[in-house]
Amino acid sequence: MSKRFLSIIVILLILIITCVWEQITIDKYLYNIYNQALAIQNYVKENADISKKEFENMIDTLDNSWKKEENILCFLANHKDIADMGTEITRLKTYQENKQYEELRTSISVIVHLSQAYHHIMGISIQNLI
Amino acid sequence: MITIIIRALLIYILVLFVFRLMGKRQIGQMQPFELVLTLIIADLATIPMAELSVPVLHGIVPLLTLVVAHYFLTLISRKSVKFRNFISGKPVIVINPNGIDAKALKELNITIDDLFEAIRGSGYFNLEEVQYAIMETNGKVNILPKADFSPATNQSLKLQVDETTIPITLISEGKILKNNLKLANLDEKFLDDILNKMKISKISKVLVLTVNKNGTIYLQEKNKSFVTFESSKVKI
Repeated sequence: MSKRFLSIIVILLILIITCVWEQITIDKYLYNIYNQALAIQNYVKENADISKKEFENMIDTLDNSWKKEENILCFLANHKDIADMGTEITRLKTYQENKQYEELRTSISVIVHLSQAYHHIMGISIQNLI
Repeated sequence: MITIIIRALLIYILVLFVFRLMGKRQIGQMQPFELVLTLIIADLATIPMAELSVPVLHGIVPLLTLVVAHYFLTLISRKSVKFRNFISGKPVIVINPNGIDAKALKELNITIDDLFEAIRGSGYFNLEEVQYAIMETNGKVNILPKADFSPATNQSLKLQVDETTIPITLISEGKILKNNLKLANLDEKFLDDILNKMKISKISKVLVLTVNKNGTIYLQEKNKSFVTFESSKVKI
């Protein structure tokens, strides 16, 4: 086996491992964010009072999760897109602190949409392939 | 700025590695699709280099994918003639003993002017000098001249000449090439003798020193004219 052939096989393996890792990471991280954001959205729909500690904790958890996952997602996604999500989560926290309920509802919808959209963009789908 | 420098170096090393893997073909020897591939690789490499918001992986992954695809494409081309013909096409005779093949020119989508230009590029200015002209798969036109116009060779003139050999470089830019010295069955004492004879104090002052099978030595000192002389000690 020539050195060139071996190099190509190594590259091929690296590519396969990278692609599998990318899909697993995206699925795991973005679903996590999506589920947390969806839980917040449902909470807002079901509860009139969003000043409770429980709700504050939910937003903090979302913020912490995102901060942790952002570093990994930066390897895989355009940094501008990643920054949009970070900005929106920061806005959400501020709206909650200032009790701006209408803006908070809009913001959480945007976060749900962004996490779904990133999953569509980065995942494997026929729309992305063609 | 440091990020840009590190990214640029990273991609530079990768592109260097990629082109080494792709082989040593010159631009003129490339098939059209290979040329396009080279341009795509160059373009892909620049995106993550200059755009900090794009992850480096977005440049590396397509680049490596193209290299792998190209390797397997050339591997199959080497194994299968049919596949090679499909990918690279076949050489086409555009001038035969009857003259220009207009049908072939039409199929190749080239004009008579393009053909004349290619023929002139091969050193023939009159069509009657050309027996055959073949357009190769890489777009180059090769000429087989008519017997009357083909250059004279030693064989055609029935001359007996010694085979020429490639000279072996023993010193290059002040450095002894030890492997070549071994190849020429010589040692460093031989070089010392030459330097003493030519009154050169140090090896570092020599720009180049070569020796051929006939014992002809070509020596040039830095910033000086070259000298040639014979040596009976050479037995290659």
